[in-house]
Amino acid sequence: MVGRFLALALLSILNVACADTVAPKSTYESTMISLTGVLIEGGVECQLFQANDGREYTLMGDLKGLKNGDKVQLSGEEAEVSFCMQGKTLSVKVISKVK
Amino acid sequence: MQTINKQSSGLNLLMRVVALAGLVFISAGAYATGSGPAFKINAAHVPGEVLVKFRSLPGQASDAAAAHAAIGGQTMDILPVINAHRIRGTRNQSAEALMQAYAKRAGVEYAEPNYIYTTQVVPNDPRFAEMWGLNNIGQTGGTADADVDGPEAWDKKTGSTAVTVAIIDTGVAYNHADLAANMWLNLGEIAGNGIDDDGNGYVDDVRGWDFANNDNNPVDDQGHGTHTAGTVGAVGNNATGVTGVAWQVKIMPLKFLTASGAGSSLGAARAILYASAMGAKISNNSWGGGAYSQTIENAIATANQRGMLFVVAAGNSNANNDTTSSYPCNSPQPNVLCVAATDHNDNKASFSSYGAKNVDLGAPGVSILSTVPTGTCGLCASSGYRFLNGTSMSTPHVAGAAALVLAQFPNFTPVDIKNRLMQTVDPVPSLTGRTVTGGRLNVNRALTIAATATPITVVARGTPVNGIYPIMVVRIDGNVVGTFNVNSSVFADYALSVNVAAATAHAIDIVFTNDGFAAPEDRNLIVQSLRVNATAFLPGTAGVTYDRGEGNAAFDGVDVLAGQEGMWWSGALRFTIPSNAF
Repeated sequence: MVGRFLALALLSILNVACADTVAPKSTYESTMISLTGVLIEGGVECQLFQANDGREYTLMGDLKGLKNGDKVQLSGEEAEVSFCMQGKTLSVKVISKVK
Repeated sequence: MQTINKQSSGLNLLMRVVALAGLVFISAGAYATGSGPAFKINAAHVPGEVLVKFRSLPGQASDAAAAHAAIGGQTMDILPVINAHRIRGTRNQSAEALMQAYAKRAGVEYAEPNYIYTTQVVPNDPRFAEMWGLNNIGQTGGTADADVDGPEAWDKKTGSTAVTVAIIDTGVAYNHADLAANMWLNLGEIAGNGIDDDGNGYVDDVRGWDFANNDNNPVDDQGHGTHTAGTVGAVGNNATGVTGVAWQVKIMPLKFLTASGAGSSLGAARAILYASAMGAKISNNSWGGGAYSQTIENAIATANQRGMLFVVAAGNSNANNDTTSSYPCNSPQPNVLCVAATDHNDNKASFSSYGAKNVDLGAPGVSILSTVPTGTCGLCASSGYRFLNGTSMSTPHVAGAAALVLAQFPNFTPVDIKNRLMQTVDPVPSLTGRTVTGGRLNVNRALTIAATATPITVVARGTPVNGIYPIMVVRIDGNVVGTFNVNSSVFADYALSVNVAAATAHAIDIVFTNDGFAAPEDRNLIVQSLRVNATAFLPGTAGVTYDRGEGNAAFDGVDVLAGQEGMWWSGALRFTIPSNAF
């Protein structure tokens, strides 16, 4: 019974997705990502972060008092819209200082 | 409140009152007989108008009549005692030309411009001196007057509680001492009764709505929204903290960004729809993301249909929005006004995004002092105030200016407000080629009616009775600007040129004054069309109403039929001419 319900639910979701005819202009997808890097200067309305792979993000949320120059490990979700308006923005869920 | 004078030191209140009456007489700048060739008046003055005093010549009457006939001028007023004439040309002459012409005549003692004097209104808010964006006197080491001319603007308008600005952001600290008196309340809702009294789909939404948490408490738990709200409309002249661009306004707090500052397209769209449905005519949107959202786009389009201006930040990436899309700044909707940031030297802020096609104008956005909550949150401060940078801060300067424009011109559409703000910027080199206007907001100029000589032509014919033709009077916004004897039984042009505010809607009345309304006094005035600049407007079409003169003075449209061109009784046609015709 539960299996049938889940199967129907899955079919329903797929059906909705297939029936969606809105032009796919929005590229936003909320995904949780984990990164290691350093907090850097240059953020205007939000703290700027540079990951070890060179990508930069502005950060939102509670940064636990960490400041520019601190090496950090963080997990967060890419924000759909925010007031940072400076590149991609991560809504930080977890952040900690690393050596 | 105190007043200071910037343009003319020593001008006292009495002089100001006299100036407002249109009759100011000072000797400086008068054009004496025998002055040199063509010149330009460098101070603000009434266009096409001069003040002239005629000498009393021995054994002769005043030279006024002869001078008027020779030059083409007419006396509009005479200041008693001094016996100075306020004169306008009958041939659309400039003030300079009139001054030169009258000054050459022996019977003229002096001729001078009718100068315009202004005062500046400075609020008593103790931290106003730190608000360089509103009044830059170099207090932060910047360039004096690299500001939006707040004090000059407040001499004309300080706001209106009839104008509501939605703050679509992290919420607003609605109990803040510098904001509380300007907060919007939903009078259609009864607080705490658990009922959607006004039927708008939201229960007990007395203060607005929190779309981030889906409740009726849009209080700010981050601080960003409160900062933007303060720039738009912190209570002015209340001896507390700071002042907004608009001293009096209604701030509608709509929260869709969470305490961490992020939000969704759906939440933004809901807030936009709520604001426009609940009477906000302006919204401040200090947020963005980059990705286009059809849902937000549809909400902005709906807001446009409902008459709401959407003021939005350009972004903080120092990017060219023409090549790197920034949304919703780049929305093509006509009610979208996108704002870059400038510093205290009128430089583009180093971080500010720009775009000659997509970013409309600049406004102060560096080291901006405004309100924040006093509790514990991301941008909270125990003082209730803090300085911030960003296009988030420049955007509410423009939203506040829009509120003042709407207070001054209540019939303006969103596009009218947008055009007015864009057409009255101060050009600054740092924004040339980087914004649509190439300029920075100037609120004072946005409130100032810039008179432009506008050709107006009535195409009409008359049928006489007892040899008497109809007399046609032309009024603009209630003021008589021309009187014609329509002495032709075939259609002819009756033309005049009038200085009227550009980019502003005006009502033009064509009034038939001498019909008599009794047989055999049954002469007719037939109006074929009215032309404003190059645009023709026809009786019997939309925007044209008729008062047949039955005494109620109402332009009620009685007796107007499609294609009707005549006025068979005494009465008037009113042409409501849209702003884009001027």
